[in-house]
Amino acid sequence: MTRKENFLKGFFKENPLFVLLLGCCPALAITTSVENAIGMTIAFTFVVTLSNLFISLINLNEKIREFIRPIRIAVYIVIIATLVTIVEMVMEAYLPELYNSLGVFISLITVNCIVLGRAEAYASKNKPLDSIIDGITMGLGYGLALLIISFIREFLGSGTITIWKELKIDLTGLYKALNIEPISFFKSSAGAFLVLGIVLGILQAIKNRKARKTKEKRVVKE
Amino acid sequence: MKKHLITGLTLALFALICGGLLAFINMFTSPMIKAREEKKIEESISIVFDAYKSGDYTKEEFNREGVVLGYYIINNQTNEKEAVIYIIESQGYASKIRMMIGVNKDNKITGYTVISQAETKGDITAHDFNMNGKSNLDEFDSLAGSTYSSKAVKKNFSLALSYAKVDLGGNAND
Repeated sequence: MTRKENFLKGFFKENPLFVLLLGCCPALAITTSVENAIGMTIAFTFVVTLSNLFISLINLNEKIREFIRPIRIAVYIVIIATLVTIVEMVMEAYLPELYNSLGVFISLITVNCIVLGRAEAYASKNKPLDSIIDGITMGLGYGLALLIISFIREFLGSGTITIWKELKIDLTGLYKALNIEPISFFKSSAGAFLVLGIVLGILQAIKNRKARKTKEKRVVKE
Repeated sequence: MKKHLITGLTLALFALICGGLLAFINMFTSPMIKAREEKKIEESISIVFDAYKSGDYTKEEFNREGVVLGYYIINNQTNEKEAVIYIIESQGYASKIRMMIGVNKDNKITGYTVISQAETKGDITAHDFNMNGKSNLDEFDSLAGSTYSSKAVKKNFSLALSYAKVDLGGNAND
């Protein structure tokens, strides 16, 4: 796999949320606003990238790798938990509103299956630079999925798009013009499930259509 | 045995390094968090006890059973307790409703503010429960459509009034 392919895989081919269906809990809980999704993306990308880097560095040396093999999961968790705590402390100090909004889901990044999964499946077997790229692509790919869900939920549920603090796009006029109210159901967890299901369905339909076309082309060639 | 000991020590070493790093970062973030929390408390006390803004009063923190935290508001000139402020919480519909409520020595509510809540219906933060200057719950104005939230708020007021009677040495009018 080239570095370009490695970088692009997280967005589409191996998107953690839309393809691998990992990290669903925070995705359902925090996607009530685009601002939350942006904050979570920054925190998550920071953690997954740096944890990949440190875990890759530890595993570079064959002797150290063998030495920590029995306790590697514990070591990975210590590293990940440290990074998450750093994010938590910095966010609480500098972005208190976002910290309150994301709540317990920042701490829960520690046990997020994507972070630990990339550490064990990728970073522990690859070089630091490739691991950094993997971390960035997985973080941004997850963030892209969060942004799509939060955009739909916030637009349908509140009629606004909150990008950052006061930077808010108010689309309630659109609802007024149609003489309807925003559907508050989309602000609930059940609404999040519905949005995720619809998005997954659309993506699967596109994937199936693409596969069918490829198959048809192959048949025509033969 | 020796191998287990060494792996255990290795893990401890990792934890020590990480702990050191966290302590280092905490040195910078902790004062900021503390200062912001203190500022927030000062602002909330000014809402709950308006005269606090004048600077003629100081607060004295105390712990009390039944409340999260309490503050005595002491008059700087007379050195007397003028009011008591409670951070108090009760279970609403979907969350605990945490409020700051001030009660003066006449056992009247001096002010209140909702500090935190995550209720799903109604904006209890903006609603006026008609309790300012009141010493009982007769004229409590519930928030329509938010029965459980209103009950929790009412309970907070009720507890604050009863605790204040004890903490400020009773009410002469009772």
